[in-house]
Amino acid sequence: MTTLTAIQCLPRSSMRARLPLACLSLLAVAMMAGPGSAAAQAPDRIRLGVIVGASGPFNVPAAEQKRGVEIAIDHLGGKLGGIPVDVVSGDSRGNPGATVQEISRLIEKDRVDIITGLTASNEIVAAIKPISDARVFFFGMNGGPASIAGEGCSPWYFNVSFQNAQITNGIGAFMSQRGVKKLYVIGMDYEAGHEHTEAARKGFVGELVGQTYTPLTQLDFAADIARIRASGADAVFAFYPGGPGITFVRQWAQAGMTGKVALYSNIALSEPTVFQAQGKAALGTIVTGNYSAEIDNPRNRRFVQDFRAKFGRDPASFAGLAYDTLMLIDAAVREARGNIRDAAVFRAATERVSFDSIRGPFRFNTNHQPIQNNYVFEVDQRADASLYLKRVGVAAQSAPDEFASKCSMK
Amino acid sequence: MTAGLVLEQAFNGLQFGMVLFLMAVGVTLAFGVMNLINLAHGSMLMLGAYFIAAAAQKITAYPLAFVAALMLTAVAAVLLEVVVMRPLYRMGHLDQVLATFGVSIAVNEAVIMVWGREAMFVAPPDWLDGTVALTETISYPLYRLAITAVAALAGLALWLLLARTRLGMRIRAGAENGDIVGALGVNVRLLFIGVFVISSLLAALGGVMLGPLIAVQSGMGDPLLILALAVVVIGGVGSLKGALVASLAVGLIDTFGRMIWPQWLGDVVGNIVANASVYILMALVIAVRPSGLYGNHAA
Repeated sequence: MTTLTAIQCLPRSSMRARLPLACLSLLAVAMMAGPGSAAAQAPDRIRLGVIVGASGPFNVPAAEQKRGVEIAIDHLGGKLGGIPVDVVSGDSRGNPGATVQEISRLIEKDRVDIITGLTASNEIVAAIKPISDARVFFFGMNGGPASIAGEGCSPWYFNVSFQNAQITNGIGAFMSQRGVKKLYVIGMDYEAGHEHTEAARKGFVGELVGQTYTPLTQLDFAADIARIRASGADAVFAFYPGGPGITFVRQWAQAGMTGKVALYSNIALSEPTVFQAQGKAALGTIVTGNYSAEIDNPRNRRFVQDFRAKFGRDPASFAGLAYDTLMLIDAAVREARGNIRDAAVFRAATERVSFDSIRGPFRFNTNHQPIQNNYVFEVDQRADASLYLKRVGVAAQSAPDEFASKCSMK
Repeated sequence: MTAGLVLEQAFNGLQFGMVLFLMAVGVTLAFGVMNLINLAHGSMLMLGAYFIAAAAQKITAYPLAFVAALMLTAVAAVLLEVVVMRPLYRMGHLDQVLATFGVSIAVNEAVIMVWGREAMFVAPPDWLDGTVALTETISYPLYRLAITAVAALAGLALWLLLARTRLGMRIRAGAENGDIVGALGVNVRLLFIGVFVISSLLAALGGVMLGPLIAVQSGMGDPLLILALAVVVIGGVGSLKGALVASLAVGLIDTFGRMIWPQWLGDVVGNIVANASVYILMALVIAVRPSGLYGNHAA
């Protein structure tokens, strides 16, 4: 390839005077490096595309992702694997069409080397084809739909966050272990709502006394809470992320259910971006997830300390996983010795890289999804009355997702 | 289903219906009097909720914060009427839909700029933060009863205003024929500001009351607006009586549907039917009475 470039460089009559000079230096570089290895040059700078759903329905988690990226770039001294990085931002607007447009712009106009980010699962599904066609690596920061963890997996897609069901896996067994006999599941009536409630039922030994799926726009859960109470359930698993999660938790407490029926979920329901609005209503809620500010290791302590200093509260998992994603890219670039433009080298380096994740043990499975712990947290309060996720157990230990066997990575 | 549960769900349905009424009555008033389709009506509910959240941080006495939130909404409503809405009254419905939808987007972004993206916390007043025993086993949140009571009082006040006062007479006359009312010497401009402010205040009252129950964040009023539009279509566009009847019907059918359909049809199908019940009702009403239950405007 280098040779070809050099031949194209040979002076032609119409060429301007300064071109031969550039060509000479290129030839010189090519000769010094020897045939075929010039591609092994590390670039002077890395252009990193960071795309999140900054506007639209996922703007709260997206803003949190950006905070995580900000701290990470700061901790990395503006470098990835020792190479200075230029960050180019994109806005996927929570919308698959906008995602494809923004990804194309980042690749074609901004000529980014690596893309990271995305907030909603439907955005990630939409991004797989454009990044695979353009042969640009994409590192997912939040969520991983089943379809692209299994049959639809792509060698160009690394998910550093979690396969969707991974943050719920193991809670069924945990509930049984806690003595739950009668379970009621309730969630929002869309793909993720069904995926998470089904994942929660796996491993649960006992009776399912009811299940309800409510429309995305529903604001009042009084009727559903009354049904749950009438069902005689001793625990409920509820999947309500973001705003509806605030609504559900507050109405749950207001209906006097706290302490009578145990409330289980994953970190989508109750996490630091909604703590302020949920207030004491969230206390005692048990959620599973792969990250919280309370996970104890030196890297996480540093991240959490700097995050608190800058933003005045604990980082949510959106921020923690965004930070972790940048740290993984940094380690992968280092592992590839900066050779990110040789796809085979960079891919192999990323697959084998070991990096100290702030969430604890982490490695990639064959389908480029994480193998990691899923922890159990309880919403508790500190002496200053601020809420936090107290670690109370482990729901799944170094566990893969269930779709890896369906993925034949080429 | 026990009697206690039926009673509890009846309270839930009534409360949901009354909140819908607060929204729907403004939509129908604006259409009846000013011939205005207002898709920014959900923004007024949102502003009410944000204003009570902000006011409660500064003022500890809940009644004062309550009044402050409504006064701030009234100011916002007057500004909105004068700057944006007034030229729209004479335009076509499509122009109104586009312009007011634009207003709702602008207001959604404006609250993000002022209060940030993350949801605000609104506590109910301490003296409403308890429960009342309905039966021996079922207790009902006092705050939800208060919502029903406040909405019912607001509806009553509106009825007194329209039926018993000179302003109400003019509003009713304006709804019949605005041009003639103007020709008879009534200041139609002021009348329209009055109607717009009243509509906005009712929506904001809904927001103030819902604040402690739902997530106070940008765009929170929009899902309720969609339901309110369904209510207005069912009740008959422009009809106040229709808005009340349809709100209560929708509230009760939605609430009891969530209990009954899953029992009859199983969890999966029952859920689907329960979630669609409001729109099934709307389709049935339109099929039988195209202008709604109490509508007299050509649809």
